[in-house]
This record gives sequence, C-alpha cells and structure tokens, in this order.
Amino acid sequence: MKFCFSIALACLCFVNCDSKLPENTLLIGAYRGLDKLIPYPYLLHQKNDSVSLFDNQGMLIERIKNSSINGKTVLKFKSKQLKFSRLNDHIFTVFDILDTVNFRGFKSRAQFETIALEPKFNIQTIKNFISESVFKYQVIEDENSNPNSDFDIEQLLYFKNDSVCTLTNYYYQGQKTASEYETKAYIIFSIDQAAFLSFRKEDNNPQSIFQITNLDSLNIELKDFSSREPKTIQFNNSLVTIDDYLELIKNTAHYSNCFDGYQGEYYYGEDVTYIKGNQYIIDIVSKDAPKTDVKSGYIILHYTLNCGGELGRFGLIQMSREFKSMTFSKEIVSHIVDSVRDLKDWPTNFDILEGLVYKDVHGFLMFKIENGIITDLCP
Amino acid sequence: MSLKKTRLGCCLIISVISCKKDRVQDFSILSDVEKTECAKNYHEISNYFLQPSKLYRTFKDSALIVQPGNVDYRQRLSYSYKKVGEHIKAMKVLNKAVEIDIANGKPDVLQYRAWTLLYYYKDYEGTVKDVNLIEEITGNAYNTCWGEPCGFHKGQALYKLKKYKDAIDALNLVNTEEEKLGFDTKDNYKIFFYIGRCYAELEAYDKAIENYQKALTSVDKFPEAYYQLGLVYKTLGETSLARINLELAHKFLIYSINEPYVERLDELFLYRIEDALNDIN
Repeated sequence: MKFCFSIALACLCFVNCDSKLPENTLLIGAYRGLDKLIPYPYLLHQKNDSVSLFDNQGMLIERIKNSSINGKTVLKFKSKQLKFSRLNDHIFTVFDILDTVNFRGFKSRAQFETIALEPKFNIQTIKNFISESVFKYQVIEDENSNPNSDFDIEQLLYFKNDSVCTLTNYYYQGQKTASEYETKAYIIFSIDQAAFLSFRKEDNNPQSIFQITNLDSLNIELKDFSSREPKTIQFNNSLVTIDDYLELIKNTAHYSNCFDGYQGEYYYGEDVTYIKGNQYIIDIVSKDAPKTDVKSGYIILHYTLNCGGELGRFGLIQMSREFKSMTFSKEIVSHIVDSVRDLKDWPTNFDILEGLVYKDVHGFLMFKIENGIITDLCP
Repeated sequence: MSLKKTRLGCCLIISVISCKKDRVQDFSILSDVEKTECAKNYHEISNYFLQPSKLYRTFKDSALIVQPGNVDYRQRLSYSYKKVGEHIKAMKVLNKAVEIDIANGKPDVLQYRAWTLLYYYKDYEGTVKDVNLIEEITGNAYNTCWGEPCGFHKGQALYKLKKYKDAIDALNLVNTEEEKLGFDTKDNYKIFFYIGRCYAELEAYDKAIENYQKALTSVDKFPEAYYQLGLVYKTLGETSLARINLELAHKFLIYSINEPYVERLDELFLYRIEDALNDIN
C-alpha cells in the first residue's frame, strides 16, 4: 500500500514540476494540514529576480534574490525553509523544514495558491467604504463549518478603525433562533495589484487572509481560500444602521473560538460532554417545552464548545425515526436551542488528544422526540 | 515492477488526482482480484486520515466505487458521519450495508446496527427488531453485537420500553446461553445490574437487591449498582444502608460505566448521588 501511495505522491510532484511561474505572481497561503485544516496566512510574491514572503498583515518578512518558484523549489528564508511540490498549474503544497512542531509528516503540508491580480484597489477607498455601513454576509458553509442543514446563518459585520465586530444570527424557518458576536482585529493591505482583508487574534491563533476581488457602491466581494474548495463570498451593504447594530450587540452573547483552525471532536481525549449527563439536560429542556408538535424524530443541535466552556457556532439537523430529513416546529426548535444555551456546567480547559492541535471541540446533542415530547438524548 | 502493481498504482494515482465528484473512473478494466486489491488500497489510504475528515470519506467512497458490495468499508464509512452527528448520511450508508449483508445471508452489519440503534439513537423498538432478525438469520439464541451479547442489548431495550418481564427473560437467556458455552456468568455484572433495574421498576425489591449484589460480587467498584442499591434501601426505609451504598457510589464514581462515544443507559453522575444523599439527610 505504501508503495502505491508513494507512486501517487511522486506523480503529483511531477505534474509540471519544472515549469516556472510567470513573473509577478502572487501566491496566497490557504491552510496547512490535509485532514485538519488550519489557516496558513502568508503570501508569496514572485518577481523577476526575487521571491518575497509576507505575513498576514502584509508586512514583508524577507525577500530572497535570484530565486523562483517551481515544483522543486526550496526557499530558504531565515524563519522558514519552504520546500515546494506542485499539485497543478496554480496549487503548490509546501513543507516548512524548519517548523518541526507544525510540519510533521505528509499530512501536515500547507497549501499555496496562485491568485488572479484584480484591478488595483485604493486601500483608503476600501477602508472608507467598509467603515460606513453594517455589512451582511449570508454564510456559505464549507468543510470548516459544523454540520448544519436547517439553520440559515447570516453574519452582520461592522468594521471600526482596526477591529471588526461580527454578529452571527441563526435563523430557522425565517425566525431568529440564536445569535452570538465576536470582535477581532482586521487589516486591509495591498501587495502589488492585489488587495487583501485579514483578521487577527492571538499570535497562536492564525486567521485566514481573504483576497478582495471586487468592490462596488454597495458590496465588497472576497475570495476565501480557507477550505479545500476556495469560494467567493460577498459582504452586502445591509439596511441595519450602526446605532441599531450596537443595540443588537448589547443584547447578544459573546462567543469566540479559542482556536479558529481545526477543532476536536467530543469523543477525543478528555470527556467533554455535559458534566451532569443527559438526563439532567432532558429534565431541564423538557420543562416548559411547547406542545406544538405531534411529530416523532430527532432534533440534532450541533455546537462548538470553546476552551472556556461556552457554546457557539451552532448547526441544526432534523430527522425522522426513519433517519430521513424532516422538520419540527419553530417553537420546539427555539425552545431547545434556548434551553441548551442556558446550560452552564460544561467542561473547561480540557486536555486535548495527544498529537492533535485544537482547543475547542465540536459536539452535538440529539434529542429524541416522540409525539412531540422529548423522551431521550443521545449520544 | 509487476504489471499488477503498475495497474494498481495507476488506479491510486487516478484517485488521488481526481478527487472531484464529476470525475468518476471506470474500473471495469480490472479483474475481481484487482478490484479487491484496488479497493483495499483506497480503504487503507483512507485510514491514513482522521476518520471525520473529508479525505477519509473521499477515499472510502473511492473504495466503494471499485467494490460497491464491500459491506465492511461501507460500515466504516458510516462511522465517519455518525461520530460527528451527520446521522442522516450515517444511517443511509449503514442501512445500505445492512441491506447488502442480509441479502448475502450475513448478520454482521446488522449486529453493529443493533448496537448503534440502542446506544446512539435510543431506538429501542429498532434494537429489539434487529436482534430478533439476527437470531432468525443465525438460527442461534446467542449472538454477539459489537463486543456484547445481542441479548444484552435486547434486554436493555426492553427495559427502556418498560417491558420489564420480557427484559428479565432476555437477560436471563444470555446467562443461560453463556453457561452452555462454558462461560462463568458470575462475571456478567451488567446483566445482573439490568435485571436488578427491572425488578426495582417492578417493585420486587428483594430480587432487585439480590441482583445488584450479584453484580457487585464480580465488580466491587460499580457505582451505578451501589447507587441503585441505595435508592432501593431508601424506598424500603433502610436509611442507614441507603446512605452506606450512596457513599460507596460516590467513592467509586470514577469507575462509572462511561465510554467516549455514548452515554450508557443509567450511567451515574455526581449530582444524582448528592440529591439522593440530601433526600435522606
């Protein structure tokens, strides 16, 4: 098996291995890790006679002269020694030889993608534009998202001078069912003709870089490289005034992941299920539960439990006793979400599974409903 | 390099490069033996990645494209969805595996499904139905479901369905069949525990106590048994014995019947012991 796998990998390296990138090419660091994606927020700029490495603030880390990128390149920066393999015309996988903590084996490789150089934007124009309004982003989910099929997730973003506040609303059948907000630093910068938006939290919590690809009088369009399939997203000028937005935030719970890259699963490492067990949750949630349904099935509420014992990043899947998609009433879904969010006894500062890098954990509560009554909770 | 290895290597290269859904390859050029080998390779590559990851699923899917009838790979793929709560997908994959397996006259995947219906989905009717079907397929009254006797699962399911006498019969049958096989059933502490639970629900407290004590004969660090024993003594007004057993439940709480993936039926938590102790103080 190893033999065949090696052949396959070797083959990947030989795809146009030697062909050089055109002059003046920008590459964006997408993520590292093949099965646990963690943002890898760096940019590389290949010019005629040099390759420059930038951080996620657009600051030059180092420039190497007389160098170029192809499928065999090893770029020897002082802080990083990047060994390249070429996957296809525009994607390279990279191994940082100097970083033995994060780059351990084939699976930990990072990915860089060449990006199209869009018409040059004036950075000040973008900054002025985004600070004047509250923007709406209809969340497009990807493999970094928690499982969800039944919530419509919308974010409202308010950019201040150097920080952005993101209010996430979860809608079920048109009704706002849960909300949370977080604030983080942001920066807009350009390299050559390309403009970027990047976020910043703690140093050990890398944040993705987004390429700004379009701007008009109402919308800003970005390209998101943080998952295996890059996607175009839009921040649309919303009708929410800044005053109204600030009022909304006042009445919303704060939630932030401790680590925005890969998150663990509830069954890894230490027990991170609810400290008082399922029956306690059933008793709490059943209390005052609305009797609006006579249906039977399961309501699965997905969440992320952060390292501080808080819940956020919700997802919702509903299914029948035959394990087919179905829907329950807004009342019971809303009641379950509210009741779960009120639960306080979640584990905090849990130990993580050795060999995996995460701080927060994805979990789910699957309520079994019989004739509209909550009868059980799994897992 | 042999021709066979070359073809299998090519098969893998095809898959690694063509992970996109719209590029399904034609594997009909391979013989059955080669298909088995190729599917095995995809399966093994899949195992190289974290089970809930996209790549794990992609390579498992590839193995199933080459060998759609492989129920083992199909069952394993279902774990990837189930463990992260994508249950519609998980059960679609698992039910297909069960269907193929049963069509081949085999109960293996069904045995896993019985386990999963009981502990993951708390689908007690489904568990009983699956265990009955397993017995029908094998023609045996004693079978194992994912490391535990299927009759034990059936007994727990009947207990949850409040069919206590049927549950006791199912659990006793496990002991009877194991004795026939030469096992020492004194070790079946969980069987005795659930028989005790059924008798307690039937308010046959003497028999409940007897069975909880049988459970504690083989495993003395069994907090759930002490806790239930404490509750029975409390009901009987034997406050002192109730307190002793509840305190033992507290002492041995770290040995509760918990496991990483699911919460067991009647698994014990601290607040329950504290509430019970407060009630008798």
